[in-house]
Amino acid sequence: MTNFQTYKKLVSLLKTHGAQEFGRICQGLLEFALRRKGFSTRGRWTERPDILAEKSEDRYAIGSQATKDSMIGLRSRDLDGILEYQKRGYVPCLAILILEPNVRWTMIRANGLKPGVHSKHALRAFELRDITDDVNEAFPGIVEDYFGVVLGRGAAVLRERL
Amino acid sequence: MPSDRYAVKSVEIGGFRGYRDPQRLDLNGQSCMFFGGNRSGKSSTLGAIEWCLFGEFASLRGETTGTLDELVNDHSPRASVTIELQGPSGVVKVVRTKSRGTKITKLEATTPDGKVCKDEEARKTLYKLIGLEFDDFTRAVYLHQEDIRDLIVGDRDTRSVAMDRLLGLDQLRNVSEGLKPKPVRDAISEIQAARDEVVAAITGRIQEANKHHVDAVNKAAEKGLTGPHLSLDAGNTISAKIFDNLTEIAGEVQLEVQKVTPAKSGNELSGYAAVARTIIEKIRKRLPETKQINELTEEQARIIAVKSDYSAAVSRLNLATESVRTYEKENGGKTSIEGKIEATQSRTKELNAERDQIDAKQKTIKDGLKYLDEFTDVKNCPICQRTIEDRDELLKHLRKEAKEKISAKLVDIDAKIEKETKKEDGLEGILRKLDRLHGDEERASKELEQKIIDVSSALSRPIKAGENVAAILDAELGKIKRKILKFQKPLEERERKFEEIESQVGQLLAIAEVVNKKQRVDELLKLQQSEELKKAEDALTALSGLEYTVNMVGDCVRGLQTELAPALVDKGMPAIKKIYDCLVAHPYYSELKIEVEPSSRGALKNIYNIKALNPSDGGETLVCQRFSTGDMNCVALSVFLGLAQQDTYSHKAGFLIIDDPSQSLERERKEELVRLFSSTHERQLLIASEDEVLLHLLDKAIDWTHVKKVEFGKWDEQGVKVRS
Repeated sequence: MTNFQTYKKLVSLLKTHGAQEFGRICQGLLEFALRRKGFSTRGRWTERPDILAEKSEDRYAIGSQATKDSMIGLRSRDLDGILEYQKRGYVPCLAILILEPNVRWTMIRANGLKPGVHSKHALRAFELRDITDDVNEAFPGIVEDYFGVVLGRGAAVLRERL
Repeated sequence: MPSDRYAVKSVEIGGFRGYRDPQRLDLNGQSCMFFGGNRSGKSSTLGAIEWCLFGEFASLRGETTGTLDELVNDHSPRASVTIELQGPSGVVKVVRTKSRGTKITKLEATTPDGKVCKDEEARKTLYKLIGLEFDDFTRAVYLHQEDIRDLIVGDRDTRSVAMDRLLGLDQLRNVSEGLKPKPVRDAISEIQAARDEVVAAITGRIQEANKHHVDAVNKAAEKGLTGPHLSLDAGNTISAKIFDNLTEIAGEVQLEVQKVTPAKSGNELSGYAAVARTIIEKIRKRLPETKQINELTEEQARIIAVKSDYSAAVSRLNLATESVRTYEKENGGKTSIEGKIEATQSRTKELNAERDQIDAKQKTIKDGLKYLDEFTDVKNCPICQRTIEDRDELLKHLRKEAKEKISAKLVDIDAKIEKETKKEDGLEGILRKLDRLHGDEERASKELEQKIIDVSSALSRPIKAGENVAAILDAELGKIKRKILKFQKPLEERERKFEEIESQVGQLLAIAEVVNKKQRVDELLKLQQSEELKKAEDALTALSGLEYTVNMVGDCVRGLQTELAPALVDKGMPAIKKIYDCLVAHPYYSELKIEVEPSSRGALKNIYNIKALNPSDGGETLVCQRFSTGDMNCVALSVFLGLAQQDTYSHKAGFLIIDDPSQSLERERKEELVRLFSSTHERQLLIASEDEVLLHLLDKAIDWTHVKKVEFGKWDEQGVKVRS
């Protein structure tokens, strides 16, 4: 599936379920993408970080940000929840969905970021290249696989299957 | 005095404020006391140093004209101040001038190596040598009368800036104030907004192109083409099949079909489809059956036309003959009509003769009446010669005869003549029409003869009399039709092949459309990865990195400021306290302390609280809350001079300028001040005062061979009066 088809499907999901549910759906899809690339994951649907992901020596505490705008508002509590896990050996990471026809995730290192409004593209300065590539390789396939059920039932179906 | 600092060696002032003619003060790096009354020129002298080095005159803050002409002496065309600074590597000469009528000043600096630099370059050179900007100078070198107490009573931010500069944190402060992430954030927002606009436009186009692609796919599906059959490769496969088929058929008609290479785009596929259709038309035209059918069809059309003309001629002749017959039946033949006309003419002739006779009789009667009227004695009737018995009776009779009988007869005959004439006219009309019908019949007959000649010519054979021309033509048409049918059979088989190829061409066009639309979508998608957008994204990431760095460096610098300040205060406190003990000697608050704490809100910076305390009972107050004006001046001087003694300043100015330090001080404090000045050797002190008591105390305490004293006389129009 091309990125554009993925984009169209994601836009359908956003239109159908609204921004808040769309954020949860993307978190679930992201977790599936990480699993497909060999990460063992633990989704945390009601607290920060959203996902804890591990592969070999790499451990990431991931906060998912899936909005349609190109600017993203980071709150202290978003960052603090992730940064807390730095002490436990996790790389604090923000997963930011860039919702454009060339749709993609950018996984960025979160330590050093200040709360406030940031440009998603500008934040790519702190991109974690390997995990970003992993996620972007797997994500279109995950969207293709789960689009049908998620369009009908939303994030709940992903929670059941994860 | 530390040898790495610059002291004032000489000052030459001319045309500046109260100075008219140039006057030179040789200080040779020694401390100097400037004494004089109000408006004698003390502050102008100190201000001249400030103006020469920085082009500013702090005493005029907010009270200036646009051209700053108040700096120029009323009797001089321009102000000029020259300062020689004695430094570690020699003398630096600084000259600043300003002409009346312009705000611009000219600056020239000559470094110890003889290098002369001007204006902005001179300003930079001075900064490198002394390490001070104007704000730093007014905080850390030149303690203005009005600024002394600001250290104590100024607001928190003013005190923070002043103390940072006094502690030598001015450079760090300059760095942290210069590190502003907002412009970087603004640039990020601006670039992001521009990028968003471009991406939104591209996204709109992509969605539109995608819709067209979906439409093309649906149309292709109607032709039975789906999924894998809608690729460029599939199009090339069909294209190859089409051209193979065409090549095979074209060979039969000696038509050369060029080979096609695999298309690289939907447009090329469309082009191939158009070429295939052209070739099909060419083959159709060149097929032998087609040619023969065309010839036969032409022949058929010609015979049909001849037959049609012949049939029309026959019909016209039949119609004409029928018309003649019908007319003759109704009106008789020509001879009969001519006979009737003759009979009518004969009758008309007879009637005319009869009329002539009656007419003559009438004339005779009229003549007779006329005669009788003229000759009244006539005895006999002039008409019948009978004897006239009664003349009146005769006249009456004749008149009646002429009027009634003869006239009635004439009318009757005239009516008969008219009737006969009309009858003759009618018969002549009938005769004319009959002639015309005969003419029509004759023309139709001649036309038919011509058509028979045409038929003969069309069939290329003579037509014998009595032959059934229509039957001959029908037989010929039947013959042609059979021939056409004979040729059409192989042609129909060929046509089925063409239809098959045309169907493939239709599929090819559908694939070409899908490929074209897909290519358009792909091109637009590629735009998202264009160099321009990539550059914008690179700029955004670079700016984001810069913002991160600015924030990080800012945090580091502010952290350093916060960490260094307490240590520097601790270092200076012994000297400050010593001076405080001497100058203030407060009866209750015997101790002074400066608390340093980082600000808890806004940008990180140091907050300084200058407090006095009583160690015995723990009493404590902010100096500004409980101290008198004189005491506050003394506390400020304590901090200023104490830090100078401890050499905490980071700049290279080896002199301090203090204007009117004894303001509001009682005599005992003045004595302490004199002792303090006389024991300060770390810096060159340039002190201005009008205080006679202070001068008297200084005279007693100071060895003037090591300290310069400059006294100012009363000022007049000739300018400042300097007495060294």
